[in-house]
Amino acid sequence: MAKKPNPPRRSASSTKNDDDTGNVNVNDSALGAGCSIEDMLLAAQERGSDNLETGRYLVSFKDGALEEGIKALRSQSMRVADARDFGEQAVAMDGLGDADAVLFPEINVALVGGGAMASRGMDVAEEIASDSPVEVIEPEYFVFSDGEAGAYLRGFLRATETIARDLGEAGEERDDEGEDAQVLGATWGINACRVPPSSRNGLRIRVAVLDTGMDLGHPDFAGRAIVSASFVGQPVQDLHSHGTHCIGTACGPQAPAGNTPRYGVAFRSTIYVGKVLSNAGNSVSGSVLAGMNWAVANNCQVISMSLGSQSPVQAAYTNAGRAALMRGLVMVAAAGNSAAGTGAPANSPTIMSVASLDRNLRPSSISNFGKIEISAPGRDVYSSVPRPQRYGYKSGTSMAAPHVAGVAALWAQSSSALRGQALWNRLLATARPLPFPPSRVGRGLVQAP
Amino acid sequence: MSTSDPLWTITCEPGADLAPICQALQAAGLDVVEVLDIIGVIQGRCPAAVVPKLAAVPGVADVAPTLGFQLDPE
Repeated sequence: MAKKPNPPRRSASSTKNDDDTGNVNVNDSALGAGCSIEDMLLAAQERGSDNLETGRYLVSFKDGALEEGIKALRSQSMRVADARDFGEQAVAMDGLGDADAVLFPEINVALVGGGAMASRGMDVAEEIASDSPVEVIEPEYFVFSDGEAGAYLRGFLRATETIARDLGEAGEERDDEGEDAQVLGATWGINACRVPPSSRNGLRIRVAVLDTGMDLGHPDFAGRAIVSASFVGQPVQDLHSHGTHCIGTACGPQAPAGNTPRYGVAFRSTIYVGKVLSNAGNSVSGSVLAGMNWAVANNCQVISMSLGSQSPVQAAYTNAGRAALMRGLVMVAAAGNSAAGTGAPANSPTIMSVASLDRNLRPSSISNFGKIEISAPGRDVYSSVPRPQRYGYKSGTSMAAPHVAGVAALWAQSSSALRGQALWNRLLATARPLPFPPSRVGRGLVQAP
Repeated sequence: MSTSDPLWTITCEPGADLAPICQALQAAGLDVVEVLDIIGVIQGRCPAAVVPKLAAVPGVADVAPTLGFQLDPE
């Protein structure tokens, strides 16, 4: 039985420091067999690669050539971990330490780090000698839980995909004006808020999104003015996806690449990315409050929060909302997805609570109710997600809040008088009434100027 | 005081000067972690038994436990 492996070596990206610059530099030589999935995702984003390769390789050995294959790897001075050294051959992938390769003897495969391959001049493209124990060497690919990677690999997205995401509910009604019949080129949510006909784009308006951060290298945001800070001890770079999706809705481009439909509202706004949720999607209210303080201190006219908890009104959040209003800023928060009373911070009287609507403009079944100021599209919302997938669908009041935030930025741009409470009042006064109680939809569906 | 004491969120009266409030909170036994001066919130650690003393400090509007939360799973 081999020695227990050393604890994993810390890579550059996981160095603990209080620096919130979000600078990450993981080069491929750090991608040993034991590196974390997070490190590989960061490295893939750094490379700017369009494929889904992780940077590691799967070496398959010919039948009966396993021992010879192991010798071949070791003869290249590779440190080879072996699944047989783990109980039940359950390899602790985070316990491989400095191993260059890990062997899966039952399936005749070795996983080899990218750095180990490159430094020994082993090239995937090279032809394998006929007497080699190796049958084939293939890149390792990222795997995702949803179907979006498939769409990504096809290399394009048809606008009709926005129609394909049907609710499948019996008797689904179409809007009687017919205007939410799919306009090719924009998502249903962008159309429902009447964003495309607007002459506004949020220019010179600061929109803060307090969430899981952002994929700062996403191609749809190249050249955008972005200010970022982290309040959770992790780089701003979004490894969750929620933050990138919300920012996409609030601030995404007017004309995304390829056949991608428009999914964002305030496409010329300045984006303030406040990472108040970890890459695991959790946090404490202290981090959220620190983010709120930062956004208010930086005079962000619109502050969007797609987060919360099923708790009573928190005085600290109410204070923050009040401080914002007094400085001519507006805080907007998702009502919550518990089909119960509005959660915090949306339940603060000084923070605008947003409910979620389905495609047929009915309140979403999961959307919280009670203290609701306004509502917005929240079901099957298409927006940006971190590379390599780049785009994806999400549902919830989390998706509704950034629609309101983006539209608020358009209104703020339209008049310097529309700040703070005045902006709040205008959003409510111009909302499209819906045939549901205010406790479900507030004053109605938010509408762009 | 220790880092295993719970975190508390202290909300101050709007417009209050935070510096004297901070000092008074510390004197009462709060280990101040962060002062969010723009929104009038102070965060710190102390044992639960100290909380009533914090609430009694002039200028303090509310003392509440710092909440944890988690995004809904996709």
